[in-house]
Amino acid sequence: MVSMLSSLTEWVLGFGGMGSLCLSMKSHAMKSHARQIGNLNYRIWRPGQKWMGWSLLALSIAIVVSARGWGPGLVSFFGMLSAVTLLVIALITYRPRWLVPASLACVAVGPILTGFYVLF
Amino acid sequence: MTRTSVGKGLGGSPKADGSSKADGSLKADGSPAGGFRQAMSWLHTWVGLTLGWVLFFIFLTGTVGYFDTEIDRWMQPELPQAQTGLNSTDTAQVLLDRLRVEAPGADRWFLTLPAGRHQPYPGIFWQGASTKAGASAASGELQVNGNTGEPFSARDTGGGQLLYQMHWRLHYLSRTQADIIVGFATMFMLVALITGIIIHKKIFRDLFTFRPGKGQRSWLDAHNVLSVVALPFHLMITYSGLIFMGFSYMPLIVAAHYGVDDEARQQFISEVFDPPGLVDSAREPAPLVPLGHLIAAAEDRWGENRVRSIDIRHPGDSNARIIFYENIERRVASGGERLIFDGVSGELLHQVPPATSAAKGARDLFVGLHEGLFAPPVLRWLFFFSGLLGSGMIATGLVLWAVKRRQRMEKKHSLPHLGLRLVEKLNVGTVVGLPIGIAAYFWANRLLPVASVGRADWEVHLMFLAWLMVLIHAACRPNHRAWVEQLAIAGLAFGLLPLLNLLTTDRGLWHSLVANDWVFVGFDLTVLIVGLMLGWTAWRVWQKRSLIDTGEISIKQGRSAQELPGGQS
Repeated sequence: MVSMLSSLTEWVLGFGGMGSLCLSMKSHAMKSHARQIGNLNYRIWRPGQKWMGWSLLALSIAIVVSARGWGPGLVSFFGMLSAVTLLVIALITYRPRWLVPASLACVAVGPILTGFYVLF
Repeated sequence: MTRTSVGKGLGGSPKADGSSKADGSLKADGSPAGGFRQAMSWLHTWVGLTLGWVLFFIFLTGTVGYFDTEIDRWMQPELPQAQTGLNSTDTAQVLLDRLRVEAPGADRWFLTLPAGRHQPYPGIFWQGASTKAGASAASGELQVNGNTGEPFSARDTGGGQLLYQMHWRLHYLSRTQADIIVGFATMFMLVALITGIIIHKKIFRDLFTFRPGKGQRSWLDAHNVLSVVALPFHLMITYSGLIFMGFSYMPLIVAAHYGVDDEARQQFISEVFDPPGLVDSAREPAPLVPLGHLIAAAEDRWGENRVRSIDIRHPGDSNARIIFYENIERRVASGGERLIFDGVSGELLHQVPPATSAAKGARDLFVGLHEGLFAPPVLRWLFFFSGLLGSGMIATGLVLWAVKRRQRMEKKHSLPHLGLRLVEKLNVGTVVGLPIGIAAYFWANRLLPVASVGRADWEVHLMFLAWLMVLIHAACRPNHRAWVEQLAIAGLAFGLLPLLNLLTTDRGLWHSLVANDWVFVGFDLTVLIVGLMLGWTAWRVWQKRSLIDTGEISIKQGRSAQELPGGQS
């Protein structure tokens, strides 16, 4: 059986990744009041979020493939991606202010879970 | 771009309306820009519309099919909980004893072991038995209680299997007719997907964009979101759907090597799919080797309880062959390994890997991805949700077509033409009508008398009759009324299923929870949630309508009557 930990890590990284990519876009960032952060230096915020997003997604693929193998791993990754993307869209549409804390929380927790997964 | 009003977007230049997808047929401004994209847009619009309702049927019934076995079990409440985990050797012996009683002298005995989700109960299947020797029928199929060896008796039903088969067999049609229609529909879907990708200029930038409450714009956003979010799934499921029936759609490749008649075709099929080393009966009796050693050998190789089924050809003949099938949950590609034993000496003759060639391996991979049989529960739910997204993609596309034209018509103060009215009626009668039909199928399962003749057939007839009535209702009622009323009916039809189950069986939701019966709990909760969501949508649509009636929202704001169902799809 695939451990719960690997699945949890996959989803947290996936949500953090998609959330960051969404927030890397100006219109969405404004909407979610990430502007306060963005105003500090939007030039850093934007590429930062972008890189963060793609890296977390890459890490998520690495985790799921190492846990399940290429075939089931990639299928599972794309399924997860659809689900978390819908969640991000739902948040940015109906609860835009929630997206920043939710996304940042996953960005913070994701790597820690990855550490646990690699260690155990 | 976000500021562009819907009215402007329609008539304005394509640049102002950033995501003017499927706008091609409407070109009113005569802008010469984007000739290729225009053509693709036209193609997307019409290819999507023409067989859209068939595609919706295929997508939705196929999606429900991801839970075929679970639905089977809900539709036969007489059966106990799954018997997985029984000792394979004992179960095989029980099944073999049953076959000796039911099917003496058969050409083929097939034993299904309760190896997991797809096969919750032991079962047997036989062909070519001799009724003179006491067989109950020349060929037959039974589910057998692995503990007692007695056949289960349960109500006659098509179950989830029939619902799933429908998505490519189209139920009332012949195999050939269905193949042709499904083939065209799938091809159209593939074209619609590819043209959709071409005309959607900002796939990634617009990925997170959904603007509710903005009429046509919202429908377009919803259509884009549903399409792009599960795009890998949509492409995979459509392409693999074609692969499934490649032999039917491209028969000439086989014909060139094997010949054109049925026999040649059969030879090709058996060369590709049948296990090697099968021989005809020698017509010399010889005792069948005991299965115990063979099962032990297979389980040594594959792991405990991983024998899916045992296929005995010519049992009791000196040329008997026994084929062991490996369980299929470990790899994406369909099919597992097969072991072929001599049925008299028990010697291992062949060991056949899952894919015998690269081409077959590729085919098996697509077939496996399409069927999702390998998927453990969470992944199975994701397959199911992706299928729902696909159904939603088709539904929003169909509604978008009508919304656009209705709006243009209202601006011109002209009457809706026949085509638009037909599409609007078909939209509500299919998008909500088909779910009502599916609910009717479940209601019929519980309400038709258990002993009545032909009840399995009538379950399906009632499904399609219900759908027909809904279509007639849609034709008779004003459009917004039809949406509200049908959504409400659908909500009730699904939402009350757990109550119906509680009243007609002794396996109500509470009982299932206490008994850890997750198949029944899952079914009851799922239909309850589906019912609540449909009911909520009905309420929202009705609420918006009453706002318009009281003049709080004016039609001029770009909210025509037809686009009311949702805004949030």
